[in-house]
Amino acid sequence: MTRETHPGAARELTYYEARAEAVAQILAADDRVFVLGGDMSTPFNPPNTLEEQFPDRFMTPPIAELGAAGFGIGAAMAGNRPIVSLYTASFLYEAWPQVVNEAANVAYMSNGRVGAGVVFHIVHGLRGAGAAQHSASPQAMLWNVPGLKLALPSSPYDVKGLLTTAVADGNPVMFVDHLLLANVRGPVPEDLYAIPFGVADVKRRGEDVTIVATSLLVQRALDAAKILAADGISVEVVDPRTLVPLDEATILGSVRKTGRVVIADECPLRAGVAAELSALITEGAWDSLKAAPRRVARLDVPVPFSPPLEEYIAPTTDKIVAAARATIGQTVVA
Amino acid sequence: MLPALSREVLLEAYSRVLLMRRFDECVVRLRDQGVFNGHYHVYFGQEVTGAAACLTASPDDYIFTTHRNHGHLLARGVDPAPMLAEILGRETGTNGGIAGTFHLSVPEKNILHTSAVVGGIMPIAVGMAFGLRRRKQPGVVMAIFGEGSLQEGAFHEAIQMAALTRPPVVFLIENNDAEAEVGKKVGPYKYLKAAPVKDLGDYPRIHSVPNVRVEGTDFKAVHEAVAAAMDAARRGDGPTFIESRMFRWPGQFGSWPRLVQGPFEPRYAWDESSVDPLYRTWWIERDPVVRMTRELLEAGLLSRAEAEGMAAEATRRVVDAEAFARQSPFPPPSAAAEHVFVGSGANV
Repeated sequence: MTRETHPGAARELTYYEARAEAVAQILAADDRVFVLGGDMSTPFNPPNTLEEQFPDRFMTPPIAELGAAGFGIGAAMAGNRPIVSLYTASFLYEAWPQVVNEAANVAYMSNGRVGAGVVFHIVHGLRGAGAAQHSASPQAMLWNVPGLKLALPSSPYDVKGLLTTAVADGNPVMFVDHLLLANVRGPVPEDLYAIPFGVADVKRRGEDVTIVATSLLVQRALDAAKILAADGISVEVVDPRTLVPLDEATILGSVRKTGRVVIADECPLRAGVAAELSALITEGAWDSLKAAPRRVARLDVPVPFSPPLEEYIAPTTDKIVAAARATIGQTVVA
Repeated sequence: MLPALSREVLLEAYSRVLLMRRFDECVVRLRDQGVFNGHYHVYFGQEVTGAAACLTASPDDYIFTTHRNHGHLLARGVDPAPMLAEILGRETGTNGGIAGTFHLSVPEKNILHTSAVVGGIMPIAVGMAFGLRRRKQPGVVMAIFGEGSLQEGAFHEAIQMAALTRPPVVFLIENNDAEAEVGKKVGPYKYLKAAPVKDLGDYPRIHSVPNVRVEGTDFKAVHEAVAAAMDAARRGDGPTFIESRMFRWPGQFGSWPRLVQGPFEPRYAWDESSVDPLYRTWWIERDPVVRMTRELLEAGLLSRAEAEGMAAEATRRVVDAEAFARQSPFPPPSAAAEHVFVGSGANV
């Protein structure tokens, strides 16, 4: 699927407006759905405009992420489709046993007879001043847990369509937002629509270098592509949109075409999302590679507070540009 | 004592108690023979609590249990043959060999998900109860746990949410270590094993959740307490916390139980001389199966011959279950890659 195929997409919304519209339309369309946690109508904190519109569909849990996560799993087993909105992804760690040791195992342990159709919504990433305990990007940890689906929208169009699919799925879905996507603008159809999981989106067509990027880094990859285009380097940006399931064919197809690849994801470099994608590409498109895959990720340190330090560890547009240049031998990145 | 229920109902409950006992005896033997490899958490000494409690649950109600789940499933009327097959990892098991002893579940009996993390399903049980009420579905959720689960944070977050949302849920705590006074199980380097509270009822009390303590080998006491709690939940009066206390079986050696003095014999209920004096306290004063046998005899609901006959019938069912399990094939290796998710689409 490419951007050109988006139907009826003349209207533009910000990412958070698209997300709020999706929640409102999902709530209106499906009375199984309720939200436990933040109301998802604003980039971050209340005012709770959606809660005013749907007063009996929002529950504010006690500060008990473990309890709230399990509560969502149980409510799902009873035929509801809860969205447990934990917001700051670091707080997912408080709920960790329920997510990775209960929700992820429900279908398998029941031999496929019981599903836990719960969406866990988290907001990951370096956000500016989040410091060590409010900046987690746990997508690699989550990807290492069989039994969880994993969606990382990167645009207003995608957040609406992927949330629709997440709620409908019937399995535990980790819905991973990024705070810095909140004000990104883009075309969004007014009616509710679903983007199927496991279908990557080629966000920009190009011939020389593929950049596979997730979440906010898709936006940075698109910025990098513009910078590189000015130098005559044609970049293709591939957004997997979901890591579980993963559209391997689109990723490998792009790399086979360009022969060069940069993988950009915000979780720490070591054993990260970029590492796994790099292995996939190396094994699956080895004969086509003209250069070693390059990873752009977060430095392997806890997150510092001071702005220049946070900037230093971040996978920035500049680092993506430098990595792309390195794949074509223009410069060497350390 | 026995509750004022029909002879038919009481004898059916007794047959399940006997089945639980014979089932556990069988698994201990299979483990000793090397047929079964792994942990097994026996239910010896707790059978009457499980039978009396599950008798109060209608088919619409849900039961959540733990690694110590086998007695609860049998009390719910699950066939022992696929249960034993599951414990032996066979394709014909309740869960196709995927779950094993830790995670037996039977969705058609409203036993959906069994967690071996001791407090793990407490929040799920509360959410399930809330979810049923939200969907206007019938059913009360009975969550049955050991007292160790109260040491996990999951319980405390769950009962807090139960107190706030007041869904139809009953917490039944099987305290199988009643002899060790809570808070006194203290020895060198063992102090962390003991909860600091003297009374487990303090936990629900701080959340204003009603709590009851019953003697877990007393069929009538358990039945009345759980029935009242289930009725309260059904009426919309919210959660109840029940502590059922029973004694630790002398064959309890952690994960490696031993059948001290062999299998249960009904005659222990009327012939004390048949009991090994070393285990007299257990068989005569504490074992709920002996106690229930004695009470049925004293009430004139059962003859000695009938008791022997029912015990033999339970033995026969477990022998048949064992034969079924041992003759069943293991699942094909490819089954390991199935059902990571429900529904269609990508599986990994």
